[in-house]
Amino acid sequence: MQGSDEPTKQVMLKQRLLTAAVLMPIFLAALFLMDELGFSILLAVVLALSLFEWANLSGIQSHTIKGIYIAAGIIIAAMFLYSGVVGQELFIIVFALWLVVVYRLFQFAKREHAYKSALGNGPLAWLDGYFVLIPTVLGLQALKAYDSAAPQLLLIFFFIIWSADTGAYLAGRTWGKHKLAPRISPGKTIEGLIGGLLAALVVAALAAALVWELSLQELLLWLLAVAIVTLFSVVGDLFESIYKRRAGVKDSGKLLPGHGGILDRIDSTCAALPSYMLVLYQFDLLAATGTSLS
Amino acid sequence: MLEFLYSIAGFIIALGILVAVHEFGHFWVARKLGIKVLKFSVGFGRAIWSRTANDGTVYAVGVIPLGGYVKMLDENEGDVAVEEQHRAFNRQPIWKRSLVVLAGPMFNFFFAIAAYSLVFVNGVEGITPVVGKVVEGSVAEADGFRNGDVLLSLDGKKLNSWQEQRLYLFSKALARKTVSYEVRTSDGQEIRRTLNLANVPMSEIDAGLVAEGIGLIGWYPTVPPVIDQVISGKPAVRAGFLPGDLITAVDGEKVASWNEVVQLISDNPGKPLRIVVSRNGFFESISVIPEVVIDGEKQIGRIGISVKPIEIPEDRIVNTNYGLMESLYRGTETTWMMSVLTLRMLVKMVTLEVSSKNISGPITIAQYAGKSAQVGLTSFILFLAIVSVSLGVLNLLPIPILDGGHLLYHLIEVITRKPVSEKLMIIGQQVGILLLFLLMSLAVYNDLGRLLN
Repeated sequence: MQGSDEPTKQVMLKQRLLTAAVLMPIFLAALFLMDELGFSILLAVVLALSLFEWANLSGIQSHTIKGIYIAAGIIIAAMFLYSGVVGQELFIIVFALWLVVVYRLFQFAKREHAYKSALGNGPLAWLDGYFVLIPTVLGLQALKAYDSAAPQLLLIFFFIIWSADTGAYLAGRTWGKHKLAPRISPGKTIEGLIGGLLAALVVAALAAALVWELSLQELLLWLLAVAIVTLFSVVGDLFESIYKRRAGVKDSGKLLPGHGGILDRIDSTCAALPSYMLVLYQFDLLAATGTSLS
Repeated sequence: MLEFLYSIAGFIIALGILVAVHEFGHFWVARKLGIKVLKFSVGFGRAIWSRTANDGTVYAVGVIPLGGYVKMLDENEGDVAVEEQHRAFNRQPIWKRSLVVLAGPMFNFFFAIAAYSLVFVNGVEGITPVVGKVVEGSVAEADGFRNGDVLLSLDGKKLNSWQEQRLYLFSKALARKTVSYEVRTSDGQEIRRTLNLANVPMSEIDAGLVAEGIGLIGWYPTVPPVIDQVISGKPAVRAGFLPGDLITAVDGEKVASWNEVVQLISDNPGKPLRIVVSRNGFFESISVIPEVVIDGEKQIGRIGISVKPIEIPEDRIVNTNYGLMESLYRGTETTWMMSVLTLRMLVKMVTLEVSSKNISGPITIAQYAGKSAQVGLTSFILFLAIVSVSLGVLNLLPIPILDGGHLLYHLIEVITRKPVSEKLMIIGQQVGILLLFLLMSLAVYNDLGRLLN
């Protein structure tokens, strides 16, 4: 069918696997070996690169302004981190903002080229970048700080996101028929979404079984919560997609061969993390060390 | 010996029932999805009973009561007429095949839920919720709990038996919460006591949570230190202990209960002990050196004497039963917890984390739950439920030849977009069998280790 595409596809896959092979050890080292300081430095680097990509997506041309945008973002993140306001309240606000994003996505899905109503222009688009990326960095840092030697909560989160991603990809490829949001991301299907949800739920149930003793009621709540987290991971994906569509690019950058840019890798994480944080607070899993979080 | 044979027979019957349930799951879902079932057999081997239904399905009971099988129309196992191909298993879309495979373990879980629910409707025996001992330096001691406290309610819910609080404490300990008890103290005052479970170390949140983690030990009748049996080949025989001896002192310390005796002997591995017994109205002093036994990471002493199990007085036994909905809920919850514990036990076995003490399998849990006190049909149903859960969990492991292995093949099929090759399946089968044998050897090795200790 797509005979001419096959070689490039294979090269892409090879690149993708190679990049993953390089990223994985870094990721694991960050999770298990680094202390909190090392982790926050790594996060600062990731934040800087992501903000750089966001600046490109939202049409900042001047290098000076890009630099200021990135530096300001890092300073804001650091201020949050040291001001002690990283807690439940912050993530409730961020979560509410993501709900607004859902609304914006629906608007966009209804009317083609409704960029203006769905996306910010100029400063508003820049703010979107801060809103998407800074809470993510803060949340990851909080989870790492909660237990920096054996970061269970972080690991479970990434397992959920990855299994949702992979499940959605496989299910979409095998059964995909009904488009989810053709105007935003033509590749996504409802079948894929269901597959992603199921994969995430299986992984979440396994994680719960191996790590915690949950009563049935708590198990059901946990699975419901994971379903919501998974749905938001898709929201994050779609939100970045419309920015990319407006900018007329397929990938947010070229930093990760085969994967695209950093934003392409972390878009789902950004939207899912606030809801995950709220779940953890709700389950009181973060309460024990409440102070060290702030 | 007879008892042993009984338990073997009981195990075979249980396995027969549960495999039938498992296979019925495959059978029922396959038929619902329009796949043609050729044969449904409970038990293997030559059929001692068989009937052919109108649609051509053969129902049979095999002579060997271990296991059973469902044979479906399948082009990999024989020629299939063209007009029947749409009903062949291998022609079904992958989600249908996966559902058929999944149905077996699922029916085992459903069976466990039904069995537990039945037991809850019928009533669960337990011991009255009275504190028998508060462990020194424990969380419970720090929070003021005292020997003799009667636990009336836990977070506003009436406590009927000691065992009833276990599940609830589990979840609260995990959530690092504080729970509140209404307590009648031994001098008759009714007061409120809070227990801060955040102080229980995470590592202690397991089957022994209440006793070892929190430090609350339930009341249990005092077992008098009368020797029932002296085990041959052990130090006690050589030292001259006899059945019927009443132990009155160990190393100069007066003892009144069996537990004290066990504690003192355990604490002195390899050290000579002077034990005073009362025999036929005379006191005798016997010297014995407890042999050293490895228990987990500790060395403990044993001399090889046993005690007669004691009966719990009627007025201390409570029977709690629940309504249908509550029973279903509790049944489902228990099934979930048992699945979790089975899975963890398997993980521990595979990761060789199997010191003889730390492994708390479903059986241990059942003991903790006080269910071993039950006799007759109830205990058999509980046993069925536990084995059913194990069967369900075990079959879901991604090992070729098990249901989970089939699901793994299906997953590979989805990823590579073509069916798993026959060659890989054959290799998988070998690996699967090897893995199963490894798992079984580990289990047996571990059990033997425990027996020898």
